Amino acid sequence: MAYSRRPSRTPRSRFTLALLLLTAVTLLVLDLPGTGPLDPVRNALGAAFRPFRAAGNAVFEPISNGWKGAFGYDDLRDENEQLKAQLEERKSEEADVKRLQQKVADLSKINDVRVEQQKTRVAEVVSGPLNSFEQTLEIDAGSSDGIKKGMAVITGRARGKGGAVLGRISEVRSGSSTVQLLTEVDVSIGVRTQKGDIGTATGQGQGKPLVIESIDEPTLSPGDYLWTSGLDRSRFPADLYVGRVTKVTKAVEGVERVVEAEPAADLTSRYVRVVLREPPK
Amino acid sequence: MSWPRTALIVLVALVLQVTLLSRFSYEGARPDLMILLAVMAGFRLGPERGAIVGFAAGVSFDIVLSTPLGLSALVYTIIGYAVGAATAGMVRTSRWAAPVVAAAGSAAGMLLYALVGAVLGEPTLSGPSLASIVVLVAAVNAVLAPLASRALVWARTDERDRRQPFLAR
Repeated sequence: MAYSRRPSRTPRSRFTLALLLLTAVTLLVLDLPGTGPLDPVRNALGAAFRPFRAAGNAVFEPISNGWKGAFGYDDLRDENEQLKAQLEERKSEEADVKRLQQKVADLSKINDVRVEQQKTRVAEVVSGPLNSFEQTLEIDAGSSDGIKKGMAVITGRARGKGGAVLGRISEVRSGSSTVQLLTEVDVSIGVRTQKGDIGTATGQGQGKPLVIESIDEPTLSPGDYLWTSGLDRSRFPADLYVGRVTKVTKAVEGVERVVEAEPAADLTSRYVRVVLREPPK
Repeated sequence: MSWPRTALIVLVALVLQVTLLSRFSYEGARPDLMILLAVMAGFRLGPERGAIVGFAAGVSFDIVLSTPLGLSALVYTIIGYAVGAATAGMVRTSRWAAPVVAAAGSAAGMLLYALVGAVLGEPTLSGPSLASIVVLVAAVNAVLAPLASRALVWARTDERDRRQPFLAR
């Protein structure tokens, strides 16, 4: 099949290119974080696209599930995962007992410390990352459900029972919200070890471990458990499971000590819980 | 050129990307059908239409992404135009031309996206390895190139062009 010669770089095509680039740059400037004048337009167009998306999901979900079934799970892997989960659960329970013992000891010292129960809202994950550069999820609960920007999001653990921190709300629309995963680079949360040491866990990007800072406890070692510290102005309530320490390197001359942790949350969960606690201003 | 047909192709591609292709990932890298549209439009329709289709594909993808509005539009417009300009004198009778151009254009598009995103403060370089993104997107788009090429050739000719076939050229 032969194709005719097409018009190449003409003044008109350069003018069109300049116009399109100018439009794109204008959109970028208008959509800079914190300004948001285009949010209503984006939300309206997103809502218009929703029926097409729902239809596509209905058609393609079985294909996706079939793919996962064919290539994602075999019997051996299932058995291995079950054993790992049991082991993790046992270790987690033991660490939890230690943490609670430490907590009781602390509480006996400070009588006015209270652990308040938080209301939560269950939401379904309607979309994962849509391209290679995105590290967010979309859930089907928004401002009409009491969701606010900055609220904490928790989900089930990848291994074992119980909940774990998944991330925080980064954008809110009327019927949906965007969740920024705790593995994203600019997400940082306060953590506490089972021995009571306090520090911060900062994301390093998708598929990479969290980096733990400000904990100088020299006995901190791989396998230690981390919970949210819930300190004043923290957007995360206390005692939510975050993950386990996977790597501790000693400080040598000129190089700081590095502590890494694996997030415990199942990043592929279908359902999440949003903690309806007023985020700090 | 039939703009309603082009709009339909962009919409179908967006639905496929959001509901099907984004579910498949390797080491966190996901296929990107929208950049394929920009590349093949540049290749089949020339730089000007490549830029227009690239902009339409990018801005519609931006609406559903959480990245800043205009980021994909900017990158895909440049890629659509650049591919059209670079392949203007190319002989396109070879059956390998479309897959090769799709792979090269998509790879360049992913690199440019990561670079522009990083300049704008987006975490585009902190996620999955850029090498795995480039390889996966280039490979998938090389396979899908003939399909996208046929769709865009269909969009190039509207009813008026059919009645007056010589004017279509």
